[in-house]
Amino acid sequence: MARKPSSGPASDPELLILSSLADGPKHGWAIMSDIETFAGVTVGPGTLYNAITRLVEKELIAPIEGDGRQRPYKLTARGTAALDEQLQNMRRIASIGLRRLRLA
Amino acid sequence: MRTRLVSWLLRFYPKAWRAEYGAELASMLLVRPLGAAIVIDVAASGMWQRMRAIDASTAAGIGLMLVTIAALVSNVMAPTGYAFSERIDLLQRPMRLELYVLVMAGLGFWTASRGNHWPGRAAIRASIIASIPLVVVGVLMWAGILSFVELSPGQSPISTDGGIIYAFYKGQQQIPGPAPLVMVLSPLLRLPGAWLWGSVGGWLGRTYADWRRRPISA
Repeated sequence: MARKPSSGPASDPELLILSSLADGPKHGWAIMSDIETFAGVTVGPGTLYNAITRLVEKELIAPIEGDGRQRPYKLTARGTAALDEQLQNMRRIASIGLRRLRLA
Repeated sequence: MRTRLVSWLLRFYPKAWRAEYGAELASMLLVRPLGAAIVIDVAASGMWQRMRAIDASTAAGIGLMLVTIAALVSNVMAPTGYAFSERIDLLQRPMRLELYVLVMAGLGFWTASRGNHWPGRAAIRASIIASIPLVVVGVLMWAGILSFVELSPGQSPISTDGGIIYAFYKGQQQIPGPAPLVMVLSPLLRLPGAWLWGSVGGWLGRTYADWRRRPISA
């Protein structure tokens, strides 16, 4: 839990997990390390598994059989579509905001 | 030591959640430095999962129980005569109180509209949970820890013996004050009313659910 962005979409653990799984299945530990690397955010284990629980319930990710106690998770088709939609929205809003900043 | 701490932390989570994700979370916690921030994160997340796992009847019962406790505490700490009739009704005649009836009927509506076939039973469960503080009061009376004074309309609530006093307010009818046994059994006395209002709400909930599912004509 140690470090989180104070606000904004980049602080949403669900979005971070979906983005982490975009390049292939990962287990909890690997998701956490990956998020630290690409977003510079440390998500606590409790927060991470709360978000994983919600994403599984929404059928955006699904566990797959793995060896050992850590199960890998993968994006479902619905999860891929949801992530794509969210990122497109963020890109649209970011480009509008940046353009207006340059004009100001 | 570390294994015991991890197993203690996992107890914050509901059993069903532990069966699904417990082993994964435990294996992560066993290889990661367990600082205070991690411990707080895991414990808080566990409590959040427990809250999510609570069903509607338990949540409604706990909500009403907290209101009842507040009314009991204020009755004991600061009896104020007939100034707050809602508080008196909550403790002595809850089925006459709009809040209680609304919660029971609302719970029945909620459960029935989500496919539960026993809305009356859900309301009974909530009512029993809400009545727990009154049972405790009855036991305390029985044990002689709590005494009560009976007050008629217009009578001052000030006590004379300085002990812990539960003020019982007589209505216009001269009903006798609460015997400990009556207080302990009070949850049972509320069941018919709870069942009735839960079932009324349930009927409305089923009607609403049927209306939502009706085929849309062209």
